[in-house]
Amino acid sequence: MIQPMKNHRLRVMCVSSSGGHLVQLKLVLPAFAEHDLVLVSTGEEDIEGAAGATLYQIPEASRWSRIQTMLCAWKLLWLIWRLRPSVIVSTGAAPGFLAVRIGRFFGARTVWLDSVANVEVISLAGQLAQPHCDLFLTQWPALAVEDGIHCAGGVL
Amino acid sequence: MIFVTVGTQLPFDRLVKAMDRWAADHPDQKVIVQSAEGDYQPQHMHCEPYMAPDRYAEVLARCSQVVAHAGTGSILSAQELGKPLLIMPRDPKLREVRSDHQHSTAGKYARRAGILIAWETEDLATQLDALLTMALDGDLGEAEGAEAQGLNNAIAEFVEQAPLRVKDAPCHRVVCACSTGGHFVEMQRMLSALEGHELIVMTSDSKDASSVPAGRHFAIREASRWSKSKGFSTFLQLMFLIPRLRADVVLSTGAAPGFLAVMMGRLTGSRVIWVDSLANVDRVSLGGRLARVFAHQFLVQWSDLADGRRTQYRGRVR
Amino acid sequence: MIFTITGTQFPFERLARSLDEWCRRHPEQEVIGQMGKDTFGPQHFIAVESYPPLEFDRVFRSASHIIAHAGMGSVLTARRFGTPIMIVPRLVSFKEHRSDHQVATANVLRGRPGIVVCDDLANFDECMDQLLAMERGPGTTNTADPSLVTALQRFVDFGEFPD
Repeated sequence: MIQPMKNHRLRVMCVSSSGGHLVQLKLVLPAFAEHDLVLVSTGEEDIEGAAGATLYQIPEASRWSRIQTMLCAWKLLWLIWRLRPSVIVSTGAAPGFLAVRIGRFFGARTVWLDSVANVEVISLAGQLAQPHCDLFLTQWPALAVEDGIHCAGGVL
Repeated sequence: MIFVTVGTQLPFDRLVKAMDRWAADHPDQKVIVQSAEGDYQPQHMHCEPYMAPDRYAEVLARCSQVVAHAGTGSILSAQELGKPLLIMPRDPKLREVRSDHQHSTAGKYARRAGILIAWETEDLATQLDALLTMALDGDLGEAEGAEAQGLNNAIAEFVEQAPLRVKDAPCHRVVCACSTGGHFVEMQRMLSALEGHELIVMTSDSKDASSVPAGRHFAIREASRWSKSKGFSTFLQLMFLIPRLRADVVLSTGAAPGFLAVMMGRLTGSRVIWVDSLANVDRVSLGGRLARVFAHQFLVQWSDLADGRRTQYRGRVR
Repeated sequence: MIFTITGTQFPFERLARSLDEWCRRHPEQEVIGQMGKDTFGPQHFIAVESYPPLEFDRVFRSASHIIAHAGMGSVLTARRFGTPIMIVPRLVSFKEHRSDHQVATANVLRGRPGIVVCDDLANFDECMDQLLAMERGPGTTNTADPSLVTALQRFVDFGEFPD
């Protein structure tokens, strides 16, 4: 019954904190090559591996710095309000969780790819984001036991 | 196998009972019925009150004949698969439906190839005999192809001309809102006109999500003029949902949730288009008449309903 | 040149001290560290708080060996350039991180080519010997599993879920 719609270029917004999360996110960017890609991260990162993407920088957020987190949420709210992405993809940490929450509010589909570093348990941000995700992926088959957690491979 | 379907909104015991009697007389025939939970319990047929979209499609594909109420959803899906179809209209006097539109719909389809009409239960047995001997070859809706193309072109044109509301958006975002059942079947037939655009479908049944491309489905609450409070909660829901999506176009085929979506879309800056349901043969639906106030383009699916000005005819779904 | 990366979020003083001690005994080795806001000022190697991205990339490329905390960023980048890497997991018991997930990460990475895992800094010298014995490899283009990319693509294009 599902009629696949091809030919449509969607706006895909990928959000992560800098460092390892961003390195992993960049590795899956080829999946969105046919779409309008927006890459949002907390660091002023090099753009290698993100050719064609529009880049935005946001403040770092974490559970421990409330003001930073509010600034980050505000910037994400503004970006998502203005760009209305159809899909939000995140590999993690607090900014990713915020993006998933805000994106869902604006009707985007949300995807979480939990970091390969989370071998034994899903990351805390991932656990918080899971109820708000349309697709939740872990990179370790051992963690894909619960309903709604999928594993389709990893970046290692 | 004969598949009997009465749609999902209201039971239709008169048809189910008559079919059960017929099945009792014809033990060699396997009959399966989707009954929408009527009071009558069939004894001689396999009965499932409701079917998930996948199950419905499976039964429809496997059966050799279809018996249905005169709902456009049932008619369109049986015609699509080229199944011989017998339709019996619901009667408003017996409280099987709220208006007389099923008689009009049946009248419009009366001379269509592959369709038989049983106006009353007394006609059912003779028409079933005719149905069983009916031989069909090829595409039933050949002549309807051009009509469907015309409608799809009109919709595609409308979407193309709508301005993009999000800066540098890669495609148009189209919200398709309607009730479940026949309105949704008609909507699905129009989706091919929207290829290349981002679709967000809203229907009043969460089960429809499995029939929506790329899974962009929102379940909205059912509303009708018969239940005022429910309509208000749909209104509240859409009031918060529609502006958040910032759609470029809102398209609806009808009924109350569709009207509310079209109204909210218009008030928040979307271009809106209404395609009145195929079921409305004699007169534009109430939802349609209300939506005409808000719609940028207003299409009907029967040429005699068009007035050539605001209400236009560009074709109909097949 | 040995490049040491400990991430910029938290200090990793244990590693910095062991490395400093090692550098004192091996003055012939050139060591650069991006140590974040470390409280301890090393005497025997050059420590930088943080490099800008392009500079970081340049230093990483020219390094012969990498020492890092068990974060995936360093491991994946080292694999891309084929640089041998030694990883030291941060531990909660020393307040080096919020959870012990780096121990689990290190355990998964143990035994992979080009990676030395140093769980216990008492064995730092042996681990350094192992690391320095390794040669720089050809480097590989980092890619995610094709199945992962396909799963994401199919979800975005068609709304399909992986099996």
